[in-house]
Amino acid sequence: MDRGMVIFLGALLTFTSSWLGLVLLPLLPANSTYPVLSALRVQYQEPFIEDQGGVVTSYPRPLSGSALRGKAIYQQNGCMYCHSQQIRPENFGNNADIKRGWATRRTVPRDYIYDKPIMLGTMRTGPDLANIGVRGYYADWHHKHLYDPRMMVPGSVMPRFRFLYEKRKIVGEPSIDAIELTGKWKADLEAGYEIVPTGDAKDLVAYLLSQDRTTVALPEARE
Amino acid sequence: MSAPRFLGALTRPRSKALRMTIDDFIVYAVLFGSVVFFGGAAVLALAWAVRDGQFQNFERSSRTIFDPHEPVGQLTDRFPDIRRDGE
Amino acid sequence: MTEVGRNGTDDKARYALERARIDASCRLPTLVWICSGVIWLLIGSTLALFASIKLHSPEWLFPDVSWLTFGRVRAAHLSSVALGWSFSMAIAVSIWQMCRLARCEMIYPKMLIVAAVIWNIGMVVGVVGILIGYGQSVEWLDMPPVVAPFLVTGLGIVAAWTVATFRNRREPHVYVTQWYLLGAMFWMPWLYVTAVLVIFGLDITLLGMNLRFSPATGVVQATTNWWFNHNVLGLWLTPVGVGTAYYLIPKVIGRPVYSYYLSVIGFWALALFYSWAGMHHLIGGPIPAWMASASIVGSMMMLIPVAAVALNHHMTMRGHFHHLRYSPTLRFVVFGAIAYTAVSVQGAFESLKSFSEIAHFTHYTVAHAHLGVYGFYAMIMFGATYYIVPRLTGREWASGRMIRWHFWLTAIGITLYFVSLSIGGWYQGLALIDANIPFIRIVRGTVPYLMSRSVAGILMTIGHVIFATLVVMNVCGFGRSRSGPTLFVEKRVTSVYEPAALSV
Repeated sequence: MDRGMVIFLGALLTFTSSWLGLVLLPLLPANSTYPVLSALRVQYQEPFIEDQGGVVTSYPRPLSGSALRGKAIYQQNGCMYCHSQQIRPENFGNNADIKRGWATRRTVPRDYIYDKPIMLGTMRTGPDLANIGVRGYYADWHHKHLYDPRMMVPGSVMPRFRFLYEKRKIVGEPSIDAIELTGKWKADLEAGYEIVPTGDAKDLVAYLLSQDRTTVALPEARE
Repeated sequence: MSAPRFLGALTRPRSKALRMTIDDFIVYAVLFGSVVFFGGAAVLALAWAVRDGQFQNFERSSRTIFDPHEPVGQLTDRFPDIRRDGE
Repeated sequence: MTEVGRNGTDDKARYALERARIDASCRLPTLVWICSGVIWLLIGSTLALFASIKLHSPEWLFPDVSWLTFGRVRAAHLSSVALGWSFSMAIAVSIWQMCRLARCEMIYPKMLIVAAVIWNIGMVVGVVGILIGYGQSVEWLDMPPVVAPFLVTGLGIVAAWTVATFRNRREPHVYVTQWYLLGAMFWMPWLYVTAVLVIFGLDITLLGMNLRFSPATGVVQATTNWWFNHNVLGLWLTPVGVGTAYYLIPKVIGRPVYSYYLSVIGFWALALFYSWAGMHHLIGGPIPAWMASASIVGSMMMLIPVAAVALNHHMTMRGHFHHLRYSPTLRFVVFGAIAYTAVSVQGAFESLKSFSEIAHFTHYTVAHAHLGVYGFYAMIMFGATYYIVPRLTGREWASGRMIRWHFWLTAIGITLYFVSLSIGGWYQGLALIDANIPFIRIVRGTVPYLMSRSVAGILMTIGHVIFATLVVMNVCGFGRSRSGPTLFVEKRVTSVYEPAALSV
C-alpha cells in the first residue's frame, strides 16, 4: 500500500468495472450486430409501431411546437423536484400508482426515448405527472391551478406561478384566454381587469396536456 | 402441499417470464466473467502484495502520523478556554 | 522510523519546526478554499431556509418572485452546498493533509489559488443561472453546462497538484488517509467529465472543426445521472470524510488507528462495491432489471467496508471518549463518524425492495441524504476546520463558548431534521401506497414534519453563522496566539541526560 502505482491501478480497476457496466455499455446502440447489447436495450430504441387496419400508431412521438417550449418551462422551474414522471409496476407498493388512477400500466424505457432531458423525478411532494394529459384535467383547470394552486386544491403547498400570467385592463371584450377566478381570488381582482396567460403559461400547459405514457399499451409493459 | 398440487407445480407449463432468453444468458455470462476477471485481478494483487512483504510489520504504518513532538499519548487539540493542566 | 536521538528535545524541536513550516506553506491556499467553503455554506443555508419554508408555507417570502420559487431555490441550494461548500472544504482539508502526510511543504501554492478562483467563477455563474431560469433539472448537475469547463479546470488543477505532491513526498509510508484522498482525486474528475459529456454532450467548434458528441437519450440519461450522483457521495465525499477522520481521530487523542488491516479492507471494499449502488435511486423505475439488482447487491455489500471503518474508529476511540469534553475537533469528527455508520447501514437496507417501495419518493430519502452529507460529511469538515485553521494562522479560536454553541446547534439541528423528516416521510410513504388515501391529505400530513425541519434548519443556520464568525475572527487576528513551535516543547525530564529546556 506504499506504492502509488498500486493505489492507482486498484482505483482504476475497481472504478472501471462500474464505468463500463453502468455507463458505457448502456450507451451502445441496441440495434448493433452484437446480440448481447440488445439485452440491454435502453439506448436508441425504436418507437413502437402498430398498424391496425390502416390506422398506424407510432409511439412515442417527439414533442414539437408549444409543447416542446413548455417542456423547457417545466425544466427551468424545477417542477421535477416535486413531481415524478414514472409509474411503478404492479408488484410495487400494492399497485398504488395504477390504483390511484395515475396510469393503466407501468412505464418502461421506451416511453422516454425522446425525452431530453428526462425528468423522472425522485420526489412525490406532488402527484405523478407521467400521464397528466389524459387524466381529465383540461387546459383551463391547469391555468387556474398554476395561477394559484390553492384556488383549485385547498391546502396545496405548490408554489404559485403568477409570474406566468398577466393582469391587464379589459379593453372592449374580455379576452377568450382570460382565466376564470373563483372565491376570494375573484373578489380580490378589481373590476375591469382580467388575468391572461402569457405565452410561457400556454406552452407549459400544452406540455402538460401532451403527457401520455399509458394509452398505447406497449408489449414490454405487460407482466 | 398435497401430492397432486406439488406434482402439478412441477409439470405445469412455465410462464414466459421464467424462461431465460439467449440475451439474458449472455448478460449473465458477461457479468459472471467480469466478476471472475476483476475479482481474480484483486486476488492476484493481494497475493503479490503479501509476497512483496508489504504486510510485514504493517501496523507500523499507523504510527507515521506521530513524531517526538506530537507523540503517541499526547492530545493535540483542546478548546481555547480549557487550561492545559489536568488531563 | 522516528529517531530518538541522544538529545530528545532537539528531535522534538526539529519535528515541531518541520510541521510549522509545512503548515505555514499551506496557509494561503488552504484558507482561500476554506473561505470559499464558508461563503457557500452561508449562501446554501439561506437558500435552504427559503426552500424549507416555502415547502410548507408557499405564500410566505415573496411568493411571486420567479427566482424564489421552490423548484429553483431547491436546485440552487443543492448546488451551493454540494458543489460550493462540500467541494471547497474537501479540497481545503485534502491539500493540507496531503502536505502533512507527505511531510513536505506545499508546492505550487499559486496554482491552488488559481483553481479556487476558476471554480468559484463557475459556481457563481451556475447558481445565479439556476435562479434566473437556466436550471437543467438534472439532479446535482442543475447548473447550466457552460460552467462545466470552469469546474473541470479547477478540479483538474487540484487533482494534478495532488499527484505531484504525492510524488514529491518525503515520508516513505503512505498513510490510510492518503489512499482515500488519492482515490477521491482520481475518481472525481473522471466522474464529472463522464457525466457532463454523456448527459449534456458536446457541440463546439474549435479551429474551424465542429466537435459533436451525441449524448445519452432516454433513460440512459437517468442511469448515468444517478451513477454520477451516488458516486460523488461515495467516491468523493466519503473518502474525504472518512480519510480525514482516520487522520484527525488518532492525531487528536494521540493513539494510532486500532487495526491497519481493517483500514485496507475498508478502502478496497469501498472502491469495489460503492460504484455499483447508484441505481438504487431508480428502483421501481423504467430501468433494466439487472441494473436494479446490481445496485441492491452493491448497496448491501457496502456493509462490509462500513463495518470495517466503524469498528476501526470505535476501537480507536475506546477508552478515550472522555476527550470529547476537551477537543472541539474530536466532537465534530466523532459525531460525523457515527453518522457515517448510521447513514450507510440505513442506506444499505433502504435499497431493499420492501423498504424502497415505502420510502422512495418521500421526505424519508431527503432525511437520509442530509444525514449523510451533513451529519457525516459537514460535521467532519467543521471538525477539520477547527483543527486546521489555528495551525495555519498561529492563533487560537477566539471563544470556546461560541464553538460549543456551534456544535450543539448543529448537532441538535441535524438530529431534529433527521428524526422529523424520517418519521414524516415514512408516514407519507405508507400513505402513498394506499390508493384509498386522497393525495392532498398525504400532503397536509407532511406539513408538521416539514415545519419541524424548518426549525431544525434555523438552528443549523445559526450554528453556521457562528462558525463563519469564528473563522473570520481567527483569520482577521482575534484570538490568543498559539504557542510557537519552540515554546511548545514540553518540559519533560525523561532521563538524567536530557537537558531541561530548549534555549531559543
